Amino acid sequence: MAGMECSFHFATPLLLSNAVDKSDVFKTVATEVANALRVDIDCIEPDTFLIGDLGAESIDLVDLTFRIEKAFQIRIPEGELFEGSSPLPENLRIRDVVTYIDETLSKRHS
Amino acid sequence: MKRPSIWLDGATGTLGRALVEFLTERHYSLVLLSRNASFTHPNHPVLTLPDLGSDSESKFRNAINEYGAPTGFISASGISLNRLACQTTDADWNSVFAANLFHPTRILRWMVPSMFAERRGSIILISSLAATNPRIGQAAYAASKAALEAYVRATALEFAKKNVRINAVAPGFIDSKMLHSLPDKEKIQIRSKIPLDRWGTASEVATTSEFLLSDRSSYITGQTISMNGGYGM
Repeated sequence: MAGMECSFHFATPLLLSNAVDKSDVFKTVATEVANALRVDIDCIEPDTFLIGDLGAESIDLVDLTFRIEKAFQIRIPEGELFEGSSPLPENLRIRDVVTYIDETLSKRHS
Repeated sequence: MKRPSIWLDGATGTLGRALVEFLTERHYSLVLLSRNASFTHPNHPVLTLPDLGSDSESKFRNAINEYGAPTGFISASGISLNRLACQTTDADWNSVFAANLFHPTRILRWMVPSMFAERRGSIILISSLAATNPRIGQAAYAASKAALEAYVRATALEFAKKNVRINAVAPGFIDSKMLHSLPDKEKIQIRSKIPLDRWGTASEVATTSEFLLSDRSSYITGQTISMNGGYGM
């Protein structure tokens, strides 16, 4: 799908200069999201909504949890990131996932 | 080409042993799951999950890291109970459902995300003729197997998006120690209801299971394959 036009428009203006979209964590998350949801990686930006923009379903979030845990060698307790968390999954953006991973990794290193 | 990696729970029963033999002969790579901490196997790694608590989950995750995501899973473990419904206690119900339903579904909760990530997997849960044609004394057992078949249909819907298939195999009367423990009179009565006029064999169940594991059955999911010689038609 690389090079294809994204089939959605971002609900809010993109913050392309934000550090999030430059980070290695973001790049890995974007890759895992693209693979789990079978979407063009170029359609994934920090402000992309997983559900609203990319059409992720519950089963995709299970898939994504496993992929992220494996990629970052972390454990995401049930309900912490994609269920019952704030923001709710409907409002979950890629940047929220990146922030969660950054925080988890920094806790591990501290 | 990498050999398919099949994880099998319940390798010590008649059916489990036949499955191990059949799949080993066909060069599948096997990982055997057991609740018995002393169980070992000369040819295949064994993952022991004695209590299925949080330690087991962590052991399970480590095993997936070590052996890779399974391409297939067969749940052949379980217990039977021969007791009238009005004499079946809460403890009986709990133990039958724990072994026949909660145990395999918990394993699958831990396992399927790794299959999703690979976008392939075939799961087989061994059910029983009792789910649809119970005999007297099988209320708890039959209910647990019927629940297992409902679980198969429900999860087939969920897993399909990730190209993971799940089916049940429901054997009828298989030539086994358990069958031969029945009184002769009962065996004659049962046999008279089997149009093929013989007991099934564990290797026949293994053959069908291997078909369901393979890509030859790539369009089959959410089904219960009955293997009973035509019993109950």
